[in-house]
Amino acid sequence: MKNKIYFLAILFFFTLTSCKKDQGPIPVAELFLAAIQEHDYDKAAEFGTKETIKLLKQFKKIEELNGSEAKEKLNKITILSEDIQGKKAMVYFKEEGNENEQKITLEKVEEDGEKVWKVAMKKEEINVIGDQE
Amino acid sequence: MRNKIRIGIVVGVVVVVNALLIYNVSGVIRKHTEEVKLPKLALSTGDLVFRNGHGLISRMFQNCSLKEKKYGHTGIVLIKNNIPYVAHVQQDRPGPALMVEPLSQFWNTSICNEGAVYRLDLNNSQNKNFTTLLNLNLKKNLLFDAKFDMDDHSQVYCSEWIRDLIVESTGDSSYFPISAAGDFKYIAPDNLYLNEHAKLIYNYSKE
Repeated sequence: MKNKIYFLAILFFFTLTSCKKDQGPIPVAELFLAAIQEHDYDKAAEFGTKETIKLLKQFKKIEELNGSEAKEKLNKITILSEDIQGKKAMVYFKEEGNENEQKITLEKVEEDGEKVWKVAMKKEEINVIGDQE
Repeated sequence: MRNKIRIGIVVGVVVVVNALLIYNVSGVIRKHTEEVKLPKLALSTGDLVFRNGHGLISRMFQNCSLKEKKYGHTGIVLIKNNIPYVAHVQQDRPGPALMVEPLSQFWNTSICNEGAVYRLDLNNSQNKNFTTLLNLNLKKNLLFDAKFDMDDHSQVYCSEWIRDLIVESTGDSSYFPISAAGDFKYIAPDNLYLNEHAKLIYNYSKE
C-alpha cells in the first residue's frame, strides 16, 4: 500500500513539474506579440532570445528617435497554430485587416537551468514559397 | 464482421483526424505562389530593388528608415537571359543567406504591394568592380548578420551587403549616408536610394 502511495506521489510530482516547465511556444509568442502591439520593447525582450533582446533595444532607440506620432497602431492579433520541430517552432498568426498569414520563430533555449521557448525574431517573417524546406 | 466494420470506422476516423491536424497545424499547406506580372522593364545588372512588407515584423524593420519608411527589404538586380532576377540577403530561410529569385517572385503579392528600382551613377570602372564582386559574392556562403552590426563585415544584412559591395567597388566609404539611433549605426533601405547617386527607374505598385 505504502509503495503505491509513493508511486502515485512521484507520478503526481513529475506531472506537475513537466507541465510547469514547458507550456509550448504559443503562450510565449502571445505575450511577445502583445508587448509589441503596445510598443513595449522592454516587456517583449523578456520573451526573446539574446539576439532578439539586442534587436529590440535598437528598435526602441529608433522609435524614440522617430517620436510618438510615428508609432504605428497595430491591429488585433489572432494566433492560429504552432509547428514544433525539435528545438525550433513556428507560431502562425493573423493581424486584423491583413489577410496574409504571418509567422514568428521561437527557439528552445536554456535559462536558469530550465529549457524555455524564446522568440528568435527574424527579419522576413512571412510565408514564402520554399521557406520550409 | 461487426468487429471488422468497427475497426474500419476507427481507422477511418484516426486518418481523417490526423489529416486535419496536418493541414491545420503543420504549416505544410501554407505556401503562396502569387508572382506578379511585370511589364518589360529596361533594368540592368546592378540596379537596386526595394520592397515593402505586409507583415508585422517587416513593418517594424520598415520603420528603421528614418527619412522615408517605405521599404523594408532590398536586393540587387541580375539580368540573366533578359529576365530580371534579384540577389538579396534574407534571414528567414534555411541555408545560405544570399538568394537569387526572379523579380516577379521578389515582388510576390503575398509579401509586398509596393516596390521600386533605383540605378546608381557608377562609372564604367566602378561598375566592372561591382559586377566582379557581386559574382564572387554569389559563390560565397554569406551569413546573415542577426546582430545588425555594421562593423562586422563577416556577416551582413540586406542593405549592409549592398553598401559593402558599393564601398569596395568605389573606394568611397561615404557613398551612402548612414543612419544612427544613439550609438547604434546602421544602413536602412532609404540610405541606399535617398542620396545624390541614386535615380528612380521604376515604381511598382500592386494596384
